[in-house]
Amino acid sequence: MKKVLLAALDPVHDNAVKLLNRKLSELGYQTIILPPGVHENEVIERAVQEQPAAILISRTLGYQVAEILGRLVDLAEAAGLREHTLLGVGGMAITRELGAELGFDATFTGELDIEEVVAFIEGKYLAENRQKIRFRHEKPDITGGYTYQFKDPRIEHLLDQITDQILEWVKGKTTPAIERAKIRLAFLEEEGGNFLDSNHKRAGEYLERYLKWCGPQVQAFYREGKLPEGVRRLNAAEVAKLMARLKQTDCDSPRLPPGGGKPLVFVQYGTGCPLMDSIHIKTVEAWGADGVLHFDPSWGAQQEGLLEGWLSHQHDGTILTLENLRLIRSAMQPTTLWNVRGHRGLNTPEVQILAATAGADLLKINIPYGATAGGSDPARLTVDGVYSLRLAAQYGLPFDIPGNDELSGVPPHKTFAGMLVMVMLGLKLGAKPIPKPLLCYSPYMQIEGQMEDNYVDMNTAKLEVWREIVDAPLWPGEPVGFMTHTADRIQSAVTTAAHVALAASLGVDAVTMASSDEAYSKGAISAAARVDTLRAVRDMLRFMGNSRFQATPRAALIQEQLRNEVIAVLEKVAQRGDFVAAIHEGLFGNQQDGLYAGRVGRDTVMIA
Amino acid sequence: MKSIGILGTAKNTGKTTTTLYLLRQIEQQGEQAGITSIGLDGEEHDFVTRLPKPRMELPCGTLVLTAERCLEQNEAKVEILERTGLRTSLGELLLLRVKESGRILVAGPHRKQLLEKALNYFSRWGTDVLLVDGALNRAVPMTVLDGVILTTGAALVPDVEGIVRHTSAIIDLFQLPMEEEFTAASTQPQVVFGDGEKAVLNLRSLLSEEYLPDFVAQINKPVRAITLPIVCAPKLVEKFLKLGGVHFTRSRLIFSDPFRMLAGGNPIEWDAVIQFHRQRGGQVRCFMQKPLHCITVNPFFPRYDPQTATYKADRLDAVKLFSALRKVAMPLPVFDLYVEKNVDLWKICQGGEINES
Repeated sequence: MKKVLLAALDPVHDNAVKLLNRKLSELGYQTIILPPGVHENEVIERAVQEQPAAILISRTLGYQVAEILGRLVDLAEAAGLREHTLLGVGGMAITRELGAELGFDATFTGELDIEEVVAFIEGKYLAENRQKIRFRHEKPDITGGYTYQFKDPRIEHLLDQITDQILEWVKGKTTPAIERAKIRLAFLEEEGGNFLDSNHKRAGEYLERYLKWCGPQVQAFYREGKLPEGVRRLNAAEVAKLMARLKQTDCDSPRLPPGGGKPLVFVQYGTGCPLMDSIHIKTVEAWGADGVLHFDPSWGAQQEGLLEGWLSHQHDGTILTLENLRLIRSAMQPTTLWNVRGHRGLNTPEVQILAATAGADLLKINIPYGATAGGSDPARLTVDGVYSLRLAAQYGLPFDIPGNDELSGVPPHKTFAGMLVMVMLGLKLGAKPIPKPLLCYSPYMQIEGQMEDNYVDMNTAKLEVWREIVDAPLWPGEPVGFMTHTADRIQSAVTTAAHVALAASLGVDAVTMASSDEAYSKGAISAAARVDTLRAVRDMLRFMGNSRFQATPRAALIQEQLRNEVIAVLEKVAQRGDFVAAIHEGLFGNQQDGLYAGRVGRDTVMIA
Repeated sequence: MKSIGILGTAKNTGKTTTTLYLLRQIEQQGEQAGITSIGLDGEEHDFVTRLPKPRMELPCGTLVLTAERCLEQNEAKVEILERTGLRTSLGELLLLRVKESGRILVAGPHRKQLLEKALNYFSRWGTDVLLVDGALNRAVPMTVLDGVILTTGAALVPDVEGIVRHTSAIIDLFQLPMEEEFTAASTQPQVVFGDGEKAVLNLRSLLSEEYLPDFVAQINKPVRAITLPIVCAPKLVEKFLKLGGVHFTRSRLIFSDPFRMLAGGNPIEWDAVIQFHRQRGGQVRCFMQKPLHCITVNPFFPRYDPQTATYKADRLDAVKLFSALRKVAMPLPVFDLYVEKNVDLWKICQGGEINES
């Protein structure tokens, strides 16, 4: 087997050469390892004696690195070694540019890739020629392997009652959103999509029908070309230029959990600009995220109808148009999972259609949450929500159920009761639900002082209670660690990473994480902040490995209490016999909790 | 084809500036110029100091040999003339012709053997003059070229005396006489005794004391010549000479070439060894010599600012520096190409008269 000489030209940092020594020895190479701090003369003198196939040098310290390594290379040349001995270099102080300037045959940067080193020793130039190893080949199915069996017959029975009532109630009802969705579907079936497309014969006709169900802002957009305030059209040249560049960028990267496996890690985006979103998505893909969630602006959700075209606007959330969604999808890695949010506004059914048409993998629908806290009118969203769940079932796309009403001050048992109703409703309509209990330090917990000792017990109980109730996937969001973040980015990255690690330790299927400046960016979230949180998560998951958090015995008590309280809420809702009224009356969260029923779209439910 | 290497004593001594200065003159003479680098040249910023670097802007028609991965960063429009199959850490070397002038990142043959092969490619495509930009602390690949220009300056050491000592020592190495009587028949060192007997030393390099041959201490008769066509550290050579004691005095000490000597150690240390041997009546020679055409000097240096942890541009007193350097370099011309715009470098490299206008 070939002989390899290993040397750390550094006084102390010789871990890399020791690691190489072990790995290469295991592969049968004859290795000679020189002590740390060896002088370049000694390396070459030893090489002259041993005539190795390769000399691998590691250097961590930046001081005088170029001078010392340049001299070593020249010495190797002067000693006549370079005709048959390869020179490789790596280490913290080494960049590809430096390696090239110094004349090494190969430069190794980043984490040690033993395959690359071996290929180099064997003269195969692997790094340059090989097909890049793909870390991701397919999209995982989050719902795969779950039976959705309810483990508690009492809860199952209550949910059955509640959802039967909902399905009965929505019968024969429609809304402007559903009417628009039907027009949109019919237009898409005719291979349309763009109402302002002059090449499509029937676009004008469809648009007129569509606008009948739209609000004044959307009508002004289509009829007068008037853009909402702060919105601008992206021109074709700027789109083409960036997209051409992004398509050349391969952001495939190793997944965050060491060795792959659970959980899938999702990141939210919605910078306001689809091009900027694409850059953020490429960034998080490159740093190991598995999926992304699209967030739209809140004003878009409060008006009837959707705009079209490539639109950018000045504030948070990216405008939902088919073209924006298609643009964003086209920049993603094919394996990146994509969720489009659209459950809080007046366009919920249509958003599911656009998302599915643009290639979304997951949808997001939660009626009790979407119909409170500044959301839509409960009656309206119940009708729209049921229609949307039917669409999700038709598209075969799982939908997730965020539990973010906790952030308004709602205690978890009320939020969970609402989410459970959505699980059952989805199942009855043939869709695949994914509950998203929120791991956070919610206002309720702060006021009640329930998480003063630690964050582990409560969050553990919040996940375990779901396991106790139903065999369904779990995806804590949205994002985890909500209200544990501060303006200090390191602190925020740490709490996010700790929450992801806790969720991973409890075997969840996916998590949504924040960027470290998410809560306090005072403007757009920065790509750098996304990276530092992803790095923190990667290292935290590496730190934990297969070890587990140990909750205190209190977690079991909380879990039991939560379950009982969830049942109590469901009993009240079932007893009320009117889901919409239950929302209005605060059974899923009342004004004392800080939750108010939504008003947008009030009195718009119609008899079909 | 004539090939010229630009050998720098440190980073930021003006290798690229000198290369471009000469390149322009060659182009003006209507000669076909070629360019490559044994390191990496044309980066916008120095990768150690982060200070801006001269743009490697090549005129239309220039032939360039650079690695495939550098193409991604090129601003110039180029035509690929030939893929050489020669490999570096930045990919296969490609021979290009500049079609539209612009910045180019050049990382060419990184070792001697590849540079030797590269010469054939340039020659085949009609290059009249090939310029090879050097790299930090790396001189040996230049052995295969026809001659070199030395660039030095304040970036090496920010004091006039230090630069002068160092430069003068390098000049001395390039002025060592060529050995004509003995040949470097073997790659192994030999001792030739006064009586004609020869002894081959089992020595493949002389870089650490561990391998200093015991044999030397046992020599008991006068030595006429010692050939050392291997890589040697000057301090070890000095020890070697001292071990040989009186028998080595008045001997002829023959090294391979000035490039290998530079690789083996600091020129000032070499100077000490050479003086030591000469003072004992010995001679010092090389098996191979290459012309050193001239010296260009850059008074600029990057000064480290510990307050901001950055480097800032600073300069030495140019008048003092040049007058001291010219004194020791004589008759070799010394230029400040940043100031002197009409130096006929190309003529000087061809062995012409010095024009110091």
